[in-house]
Amino acid sequence: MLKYVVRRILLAIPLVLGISLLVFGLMHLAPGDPVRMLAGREAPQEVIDSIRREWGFDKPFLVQYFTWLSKVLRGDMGRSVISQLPVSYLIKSRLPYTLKLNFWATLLGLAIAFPLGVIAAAKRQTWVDYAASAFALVGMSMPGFWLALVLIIVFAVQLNWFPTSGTGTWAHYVLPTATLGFSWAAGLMRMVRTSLLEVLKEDYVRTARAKGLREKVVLVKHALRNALIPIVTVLGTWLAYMVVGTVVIETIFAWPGLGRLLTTALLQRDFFLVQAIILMISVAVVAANLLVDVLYAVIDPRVRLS
Amino acid sequence: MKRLVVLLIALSLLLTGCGGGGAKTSDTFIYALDADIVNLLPVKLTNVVSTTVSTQIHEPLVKYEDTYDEFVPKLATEWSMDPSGLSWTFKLRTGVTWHDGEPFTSEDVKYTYETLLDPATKSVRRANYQIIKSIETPDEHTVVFHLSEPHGPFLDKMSQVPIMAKHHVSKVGLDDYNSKAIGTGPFMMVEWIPDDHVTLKANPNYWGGKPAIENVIFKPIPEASVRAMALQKGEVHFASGLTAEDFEKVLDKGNVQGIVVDSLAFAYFGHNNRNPLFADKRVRQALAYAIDGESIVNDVRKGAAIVSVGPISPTNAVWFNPNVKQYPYDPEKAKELLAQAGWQVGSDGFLTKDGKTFSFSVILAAGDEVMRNQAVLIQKWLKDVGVDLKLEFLDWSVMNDRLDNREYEAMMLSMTPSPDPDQFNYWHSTAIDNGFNDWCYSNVQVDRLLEQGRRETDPAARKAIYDEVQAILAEDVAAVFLYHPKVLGGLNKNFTGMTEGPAGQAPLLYKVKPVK
Repeated sequence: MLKYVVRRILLAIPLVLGISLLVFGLMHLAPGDPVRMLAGREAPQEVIDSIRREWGFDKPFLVQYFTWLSKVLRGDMGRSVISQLPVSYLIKSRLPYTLKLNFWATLLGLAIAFPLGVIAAAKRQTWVDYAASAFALVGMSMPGFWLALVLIIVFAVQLNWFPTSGTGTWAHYVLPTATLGFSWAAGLMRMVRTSLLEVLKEDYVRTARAKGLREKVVLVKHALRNALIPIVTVLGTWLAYMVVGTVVIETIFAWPGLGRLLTTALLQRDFFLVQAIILMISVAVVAANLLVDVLYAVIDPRVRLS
Repeated sequence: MKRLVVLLIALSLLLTGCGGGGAKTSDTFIYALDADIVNLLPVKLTNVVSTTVSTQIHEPLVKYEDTYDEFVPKLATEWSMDPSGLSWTFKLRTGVTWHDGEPFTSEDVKYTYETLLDPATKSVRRANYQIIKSIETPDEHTVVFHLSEPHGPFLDKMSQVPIMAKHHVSKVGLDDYNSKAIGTGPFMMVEWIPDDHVTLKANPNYWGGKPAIENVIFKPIPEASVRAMALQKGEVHFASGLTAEDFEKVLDKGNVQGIVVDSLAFAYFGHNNRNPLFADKRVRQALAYAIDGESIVNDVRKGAAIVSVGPISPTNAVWFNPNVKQYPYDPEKAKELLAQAGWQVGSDGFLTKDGKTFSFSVILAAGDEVMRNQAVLIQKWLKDVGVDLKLEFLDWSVMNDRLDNREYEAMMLSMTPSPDPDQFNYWHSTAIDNGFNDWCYSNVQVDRLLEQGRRETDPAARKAIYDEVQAILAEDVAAVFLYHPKVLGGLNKNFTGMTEGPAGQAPLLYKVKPVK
């Protein structure tokens, strides 16, 4: 088991390095000059040149990449080209907000998706199932920004229950959490339903029923556990979508998180900041996948053998 | 399962444990910004948001406050120029202290400007101040600026640099200054939580008297519609940059008072004057006649703009010249001028000359609905006179690159000039390579006038010079001037005193009062 985990970690290293090179390259290929964005259009050439030198933008691409990489490995992610604040500070100040929002949204998503998915599978092709599927369809096709604005108009402006945007109290969490949570619940619910239906066709489920077990026990104890495997896989890759998904939501709700930081950084071609955030996200995704693989083994003993 | 529940509860308590809510009493004024601050350091101010916050904390020597006609004394109480125009003497206000209690002296002024001029600071505004040759401080309350040549817009430039504390900045450094900002202004820095809020509190020792509001909280809310809703609900007390639709909705509720500010900005349709397509003045004039500025103001901007005849807004009454050639919407006249210039209507309805169709593309920033709507209208109007216009929507950073490299046939943007009419950086031919002359406009006569206007220090003589510049720009159609936008904002009715003018200046929050 330990050997398996260690091997997976070692394999992840070249993957992360590859991603970092790709990100670095893409930022360089993208049109838009960060120095110009920083200096403003009024800046004389001498200012532009001195900034370019200072940030090392005048060096060849690979030199720039390795300088950056060696600094990052030593824990120095550089400074934002635009605000000139340390990248680590900018990320550190945003990260808790994104984590908190995602924590609640995931919790909400799971709380809706699991019961709904299980009921839909158990009562297949009844009105309950149809209603749940309709919910999933609507939830998945509704764009996040649209849902966000509708929720603000209804619950913040008309009903005056929650604030429109910002942070501070628990009430500030409600609307952004609901927006994110619902979008995820929709996709996840379908996943749970399909996966469970698949398992319910298995022989051992028939056996369990034949033993005279109550349907509830069959469903929860025998079927659900085995239905979890594909769901856990999806949850792992979901981590990437979480940060990406918050990009729009955080901007609309004026939420001071990582997604909004990334948006601003991208629009301003804030090189080091974008690179650091993307690198962080990719490390998180790789780590999440690693965790999923390990979780497999825990959930399904068969995986351990292979 | 039970353990899991306990864990979840513990986690949730941990996660909601922090967060900084502000006291929402009547002495706290919440101001919605459209973006977070970048840098509050006076010598590094580059954007509107940072300036809005920074100028509550720091003050310049002099300032425009209610009109553009005169400068109001701030840290300087008196000033004079010697007859040669080569040196300016400022008497400083006495008894002023920094937020940490240290006295404000002439050394601070000298330090601020020397830091600005130091190439190591890499201030993008340095070039504007290079006329300053040296700074002298004969005593604690006198500063003398020596210039390399007489400079008409000198006071205007002085009004744009808030003074910073030498003892403080030399200690904390130029980086990471934001949350440590110290000034002489009416408000003091309390905290900055990036992307969430900036909190300031009243300076009890402000030389102008303690402000009526105790706290100011700036909240960056990037979405314009959310900003409007937050204002409507009373979550924020002031927001601006609203769309015309949101503005009407917000006013409907009755708890918000509209604040409409004329701006100095001018929006234009700018053809690249280097392009041979626009070499003939009759062609440029035809474009101006073909485009209906008034209809853009009424239909696209919903009345929130003033029709423009040149780069200086009528709001800037001191310098505005109304007696210039104007181009009311007249497609027939446009067609006539184009025919005179040798353009014939081809089989496809578009104009042709020497086998080439009159076709070009305009670049504009993507994502701006107002800009898009007006571009579509202009496209239609030009088609009416036989000109084929293509629209090219670009990301802002790409747009900047194209502008810098002068790679466009036409572009649509707006510019916000200073109140001073010195628009050397816009219209002088050297500004094509080293400035904002995005129109690539080059005219020997205008060059000469702009050089003269800068050196002239007599206001009456300057007025004559800039009147002529405006007349030439209009006659020449250096650009098709469309309108001067108005900025739509709203103030919660629990507060008064948010000044409506002058345009383009940072708000004076020390004048805001709660309604008791």
